[in-house]
Amino acid sequence: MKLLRTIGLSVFTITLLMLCGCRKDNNGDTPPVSGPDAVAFLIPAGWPAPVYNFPENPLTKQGIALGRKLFYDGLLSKDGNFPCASCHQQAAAFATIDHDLSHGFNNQFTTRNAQSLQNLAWMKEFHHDGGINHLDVQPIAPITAPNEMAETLANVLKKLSADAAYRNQFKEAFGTEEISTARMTKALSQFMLSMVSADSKYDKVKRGVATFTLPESLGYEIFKEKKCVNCHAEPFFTDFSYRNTGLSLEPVLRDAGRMRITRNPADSLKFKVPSLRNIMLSAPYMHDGRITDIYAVLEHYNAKVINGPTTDPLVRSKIPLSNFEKGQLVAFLQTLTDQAFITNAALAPPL
Amino acid sequence: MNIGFLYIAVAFTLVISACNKEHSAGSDFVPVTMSIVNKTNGVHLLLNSPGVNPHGEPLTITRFAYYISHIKLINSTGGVVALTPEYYLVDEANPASQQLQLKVPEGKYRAVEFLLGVDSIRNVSGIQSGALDPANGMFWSWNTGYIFAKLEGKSVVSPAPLSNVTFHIGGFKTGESALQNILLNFPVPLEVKSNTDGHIFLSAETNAWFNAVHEIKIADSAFCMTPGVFAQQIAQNYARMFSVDSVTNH
Repeated sequence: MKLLRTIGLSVFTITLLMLCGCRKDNNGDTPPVSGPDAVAFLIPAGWPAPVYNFPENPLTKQGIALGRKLFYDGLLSKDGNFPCASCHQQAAAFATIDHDLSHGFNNQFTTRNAQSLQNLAWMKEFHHDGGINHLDVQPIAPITAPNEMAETLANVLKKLSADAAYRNQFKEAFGTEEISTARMTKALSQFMLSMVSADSKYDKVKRGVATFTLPESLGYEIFKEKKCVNCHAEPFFTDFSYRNTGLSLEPVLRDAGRMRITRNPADSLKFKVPSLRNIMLSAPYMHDGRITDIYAVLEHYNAKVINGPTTDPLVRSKIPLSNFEKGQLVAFLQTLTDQAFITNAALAPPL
Repeated sequence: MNIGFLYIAVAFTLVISACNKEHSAGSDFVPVTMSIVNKTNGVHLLLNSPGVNPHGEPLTITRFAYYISHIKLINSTGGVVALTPEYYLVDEANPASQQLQLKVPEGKYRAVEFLLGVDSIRNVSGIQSGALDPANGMFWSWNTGYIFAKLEGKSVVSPAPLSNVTFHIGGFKTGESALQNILLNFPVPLEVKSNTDGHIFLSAETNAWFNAVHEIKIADSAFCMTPGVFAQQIAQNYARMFSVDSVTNH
């Protein structure tokens, strides 16, 4: 199986290279332009195939570099103060450090806790309510939301097109200086797709190059025994489903979650199961950041679940956890922190 | 699941399609213009100009736009001729957008058929360009999908803030589809021959939005910004907004 995957991956990479070669054909009257350099997307051992359609947006060194510049550039926001990175900070696994709700344009709050960005190539839907069905259209939401970056796409494109350095980078990444919505969001996708977190201690244990301490391994057993793993399924530590974990309706935001998208009352108060990867870095917790501390999250499942019509069957009877078990669970959750990810220079602001 | 073979299959299919991009623009295709005049109560729509809807409610329309795609012509024997796939955003603020330049095979046609809206595939395939560029303002960012048709305006009877009237109609998922297939018969056949300029003249009547099938009063509901039953009702209404004024070929 591993061998097959390796073969598959190499063929995939070779094909990407062929695609680039194919795109560059010219009639001989123009000198050949050196195209962007293909970058292979590496699938961590044991992980399934990604859902992102790479052939439609092949990763290149220049595309990723452009996406990185865009991600960290306030130019994408109305007043210049709110790049993507203002809410998605690397040290917090690309969530917002220490904020329940993030801040956007003109002192406004966002309506939900910023999600961490990682392993996006395996995600079919985005946002806490899953309202967005493709990574390439995701950036449009924060860019145009009046309480976030508060800009219009037309204006962003105008600002980018007026910048010679950007025109040059678009040319390097896509062959011509044309700056379009599609090219901009595809470049952002390329950078965000490179945010793969798969090198935590947990991953090293799975690869056989590290071993859990006793509390960590006890925590892992509790994690499985108490059925945390049923929703927070390995290797992503989410099953990507939408569930009501028994939180009360916040009276100001009145956020109905998934029902906002499906308008189905059965989806009321359901939110996407978040990944637990890097969970110790992305406090505060829950879709609106109402719980500041990981132990308080565990206490929610132990004693505070509210049963309503859509509360998930797995938490309806609560999840009894002793203080000892909570401690072991947290020891295990700490093994999901990926230092290499949050210190990866390639994901940091461009120099 | 054999990932290796999956990649090989997907990758090679792409290579083949990427290298085989040339479409044969056959010489048998003749340019035909399909013009659409947007009207209110039979008179050419003037944006930002006060008027009334069929219920007598004051309404100043400020934006009026919709997507047309999958244009087909029905020939005299009932055969369906699908034209080159193209998406058109007809926008009252952009006169050029009201002249759809078609390429039609020679023949004799008795009707035109098209989709009002954007098919589901384009709603789930990521970022699009051209008429479908989300920068055109016909796209829901928070609940991915295209706004198929948009009528915005002001009305003193609107219960919404700023007297706004906001009808953003879309929805492609099963059970909430607002896609409308439009079939319009020509009063006389359209003969498309080389060296002729074929022309299809259509009208689109904004009144239809309010009463063609369902009675929609601004005083009751001045906005629609999500897919669902109300959007579907308005879509069923505006599906009746088109009429053929004439067809000519000179």
